[in-house]
Amino acid sequence: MTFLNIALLLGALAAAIPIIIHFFHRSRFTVVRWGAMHLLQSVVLTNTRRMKIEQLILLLIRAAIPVTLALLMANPILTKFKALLRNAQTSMVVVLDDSYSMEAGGPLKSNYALARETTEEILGGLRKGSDAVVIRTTDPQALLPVEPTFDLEDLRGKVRETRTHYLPALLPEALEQSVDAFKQLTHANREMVVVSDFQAASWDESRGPARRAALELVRNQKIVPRVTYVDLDRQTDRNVAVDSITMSRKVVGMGEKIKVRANVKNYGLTPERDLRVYFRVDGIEQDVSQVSLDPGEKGQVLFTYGFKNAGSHYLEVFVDADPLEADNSCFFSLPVLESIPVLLLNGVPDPEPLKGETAFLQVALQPFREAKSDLPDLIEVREVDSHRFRENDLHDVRVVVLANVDELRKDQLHAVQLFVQRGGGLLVFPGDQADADWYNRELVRRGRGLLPATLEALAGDIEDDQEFASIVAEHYDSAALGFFNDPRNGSLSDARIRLWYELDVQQPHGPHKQQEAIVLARLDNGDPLLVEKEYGEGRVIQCATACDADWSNLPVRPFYVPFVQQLVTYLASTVYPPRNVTVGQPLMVFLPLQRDLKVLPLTDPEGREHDVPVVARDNYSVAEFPEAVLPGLYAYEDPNGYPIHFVVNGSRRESELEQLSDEEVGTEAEAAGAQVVRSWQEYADLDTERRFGREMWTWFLGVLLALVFAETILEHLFTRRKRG
Amino acid sequence: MANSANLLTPEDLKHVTNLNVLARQVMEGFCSGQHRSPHKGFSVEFREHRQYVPGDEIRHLDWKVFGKTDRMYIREFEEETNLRAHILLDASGSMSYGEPGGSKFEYARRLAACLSYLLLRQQDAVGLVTFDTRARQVIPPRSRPGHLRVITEALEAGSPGGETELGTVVQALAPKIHRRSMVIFISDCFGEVSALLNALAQLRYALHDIIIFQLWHEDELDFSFKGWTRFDSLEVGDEKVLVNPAHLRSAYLDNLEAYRRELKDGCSRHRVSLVPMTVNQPYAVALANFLALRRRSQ
Repeated sequence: MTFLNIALLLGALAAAIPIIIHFFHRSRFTVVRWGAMHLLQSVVLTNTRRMKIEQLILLLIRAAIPVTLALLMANPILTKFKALLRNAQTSMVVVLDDSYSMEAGGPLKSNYALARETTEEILGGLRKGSDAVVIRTTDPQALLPVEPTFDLEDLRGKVRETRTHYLPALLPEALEQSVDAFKQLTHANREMVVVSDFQAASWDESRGPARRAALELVRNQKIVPRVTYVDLDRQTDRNVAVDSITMSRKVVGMGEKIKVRANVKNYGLTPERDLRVYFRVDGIEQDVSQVSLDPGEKGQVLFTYGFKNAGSHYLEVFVDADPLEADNSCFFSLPVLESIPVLLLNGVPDPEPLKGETAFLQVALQPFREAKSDLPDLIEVREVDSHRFRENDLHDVRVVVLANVDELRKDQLHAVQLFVQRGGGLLVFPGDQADADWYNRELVRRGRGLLPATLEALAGDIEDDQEFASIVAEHYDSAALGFFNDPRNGSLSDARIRLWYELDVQQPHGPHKQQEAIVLARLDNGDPLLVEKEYGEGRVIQCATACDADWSNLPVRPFYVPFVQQLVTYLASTVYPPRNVTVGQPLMVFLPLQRDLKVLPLTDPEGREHDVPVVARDNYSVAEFPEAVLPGLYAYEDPNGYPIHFVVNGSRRESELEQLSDEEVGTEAEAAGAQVVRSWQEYADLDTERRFGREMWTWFLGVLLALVFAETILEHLFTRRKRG
Repeated sequence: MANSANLLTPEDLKHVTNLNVLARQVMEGFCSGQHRSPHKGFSVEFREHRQYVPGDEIRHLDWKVFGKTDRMYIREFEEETNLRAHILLDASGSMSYGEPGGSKFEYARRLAACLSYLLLRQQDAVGLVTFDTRARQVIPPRSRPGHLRVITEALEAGSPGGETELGTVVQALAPKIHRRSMVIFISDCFGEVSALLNALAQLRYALHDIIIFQLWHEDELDFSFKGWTRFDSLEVGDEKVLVNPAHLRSAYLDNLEAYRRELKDGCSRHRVSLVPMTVNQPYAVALANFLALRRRSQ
């Protein structure tokens, strides 16, 4: 403790005054000649001890009053035995939580607006010559400004221009980054301020070890900074989010009906009744539904729609529920194709009708054309002799079908692999010409190749009409066969499979992004009939039997047309590069190579236009927008003036607005050796205390008043007349 | 030398003359007055005739009846007799408390003079005893008007001093009061309450009617002294106490209340009238109020 006006402490000597007065009065007594001594004497005898104690108490209180007054006027400062910083300059790192949960908060001002103001005020309160830097939790690597600055006014301006980013808060990374930032700061007086809403999802225990490890790094610095947590602590009770949109197709053809499922969740603490959920296509409202959700409950809303025009379209499901708008909408970009170009690689071409390997396939894939109808077919088939197949044949093709191909040359194989990696679909039917060894060696490659299963022995007998296998009728989980879950669309079990390859499914491994191989359908003896595998961005479906009528009666069954059409459209539904991405992913578009195309205009969700550079890559002109940080709809404009829509959806982890309790924040602060404040005013008080100690005059004023009050009360108590 | 005019101001007398002392008991007396006596006598108011018996005085024979009936009858009259009152005035040191001219003793002797005047005016006999540890002056009861002067001169001559020993004094005086009388104490009654009550019981046993005018100074009732004070005893020379009275006031008042309650209960038990009075109270008005109260109790 120290005193600002230490000379006034001499006033404490006034404590002697009441004592002197006491003894003076005792010596200057009044003499009364008294008659009723018999009444007085007994009272004196029985009350002498009590009177002495009472007088001593009063004397002590009266002596304490001038001492307290002297202490009060000397303006005592509590320093907690630490050296005061006075006006020392500070090096400060502010860790600013800019995750989008900060958009929640009070009705007039979001938590982030408050956090920004708080940061500005804290920076504004630094002494001249101090330096500082701001680290945002959504992008800890990008310091604000790029290097620590002494120009605090400029830094405040930059903070003012920041906004929330629709990414989760990366607190451990931000804390680690602060260590690097401190190395660039100059003053020995160091301070780190963490401004956050302490959203439970960001401060949960799953990242606790990483957070504590980062704090350990902060504490192990040569000069340990003081840490202050600014807890904005304004929780929002209401938040409903459209979590995701699930589509039955990722690519659709014109007129094809699609089912759109929107997953809605109530993240708030209050029940939501009769919420209106809007379905919009290309910004135009098409349908409205209602849903009621209890706190924490998830719901699903289903919409159906058929596109009339080809091109890039987008869907939006919007729930008008709460002020945190970022998660009230969910978008989905969907290319609508005029037709799906399919390339058939025919292993056994034959000019006679219905004799070639792909004859039934062609009829099934474009039935109107074969029937000489005026109606357009969604699928546009092109057939190539497998031995004459070249890479150029793959231009604009979305699905390739290998029909009883014996084997491919290396260049052919490479072209097909590249095609699938970039999102193409591959449907493989074996046959009598197929070289099983080559297939297993070059296409399966022990799980690293295109095909999900090796061709083992042939099973069945085409000579014996009585020996066949049927397809197991079951509920098909895959969208490829989901059409047949409705009995009105026919039953796959009607078919008789007379000859087939026994498939041995190889679980994938290798450098490309691959999921586990899935058996889509089985024969009644348990052998797989259809097996699916992801390869790169594309998909492959391998069939165990041939596509013509040699090994089965599949082509003559009524369901054959929808069967192969479903398989092909399913395989064509992969879009590459992806047009539905999460925040932070790049937005890439591949266009046919145009040397004179230098930039491609892009409009972001806030309507701002960006010129995205176009570079030539292989046979494509590629535009890539690297920073899609805002959730919502982006639109490129291709050279023909048509839009190409991209959708960026934010992580819904930030929709969990529950905040840590005060006790939990206290625990976190204790672990970090931090002090917790609720506002910049509290921070300013804390800073003043650190610099100049805590002024204690208010305490002493309280004590003084208490002493005066106690003296009056006790004096009254000691002399009051007892009632009878 | 003081005379009765100094003690009995016209204002005081104005108040007291409108009141009558009505004794609760029929007292013996020699002089006619307003108090009925149980004894038959030969005064002015005829009561009855009775037959003569040997030993009756011849002068009381009704000669007219004898002349008419030839029988000897004695004429009997109902006499109005006086009250014999003994005023016992406390002249101990404690009675001197109070400012000059306003002490308890000063108040006490004026009250005694008032009572004497009132009683003598009703042709009652009144006597006076002043005492501290013993009886100092003893004036026997007389009913003649000139007796007031004797009493007032004795009152003027007295001065307070010495300790109060009311019990001892009463025990000494009791055998000397032969006839049923009214005993009027004017005192602060400081001292042993039990001894005083024993003495009163002795007087009550002799059928005396007892009234105590207990005198208080307001300081003794309030104890509202400020600052450090040394209390020197008025009765015992070396008895001194240095205290801060504010801190003792509460306990003192409790003690005072207990003392007064004990005295009041004791008097009530012995059917002794206790009349507390303060020296700033107009004594004549207080006396008049007491006499009115006394009348109502008859």
